[in-house]
Amino acid sequence: MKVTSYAVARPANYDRNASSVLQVTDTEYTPHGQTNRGTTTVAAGKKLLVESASIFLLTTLAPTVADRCIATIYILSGSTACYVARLDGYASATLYSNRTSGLVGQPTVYAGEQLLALTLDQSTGGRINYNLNVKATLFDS
Amino acid sequence: MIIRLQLIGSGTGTDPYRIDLPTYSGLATNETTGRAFADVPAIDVSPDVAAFVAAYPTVDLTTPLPVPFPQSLANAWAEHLARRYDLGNARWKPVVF
Repeated sequence: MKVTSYAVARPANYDRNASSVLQVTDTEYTPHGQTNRGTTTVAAGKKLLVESASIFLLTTLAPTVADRCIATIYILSGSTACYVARLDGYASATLYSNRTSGLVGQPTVYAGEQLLALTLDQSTGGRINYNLNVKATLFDS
Repeated sequence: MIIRLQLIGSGTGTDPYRIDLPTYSGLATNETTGRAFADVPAIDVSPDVAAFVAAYPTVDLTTPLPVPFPQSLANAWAEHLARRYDLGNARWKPVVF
């Protein structure tokens, strides 16, 4: 039998010029408007595999008036946002109370898309420690 | 590397506060002065911009720079980012502030 072509397996993504992307926010903020705390844009010829994402909020100073508080990690493709992890509700008026959220699925982010971390606190007074962590691998597509 | 940059946006859902860079993390903001500290990947910062940041260190989010960020450096940084990400018409125009 004459063999004219044969298949060669592509290297795994972590063997394709891979590097870690760590997008970390670990800071206390007083009330603020919607703020993108971190952004990762995938360059042409690359893909980003999100392997871990977590959100941990800790009230370190109780607010005078608790209001809406958001912490989210999401993918933006064009104008469409897809949430990877999300906390949305009233800020806690109880000192040292905490809320957590974690990654759902293991999404791949493609060239031109963005992975973002966003926070919001509309309370009056108070302070929250925002811990938003993403570990991803960037590799050749 | 940590760089103090101009904050853009209005803090709303459709226009959140952010800086005009494709990749950064740990954004600390002052909505009143319009300044923000961000951790920017070194590969995204052109050498002449890194030299400017080193020459004019910043310690808070209120004190203005002793000299404004030169337009020539701003243009060069924007071109550096456009080349590195190569995403068609996508452009970023960060300003050290």
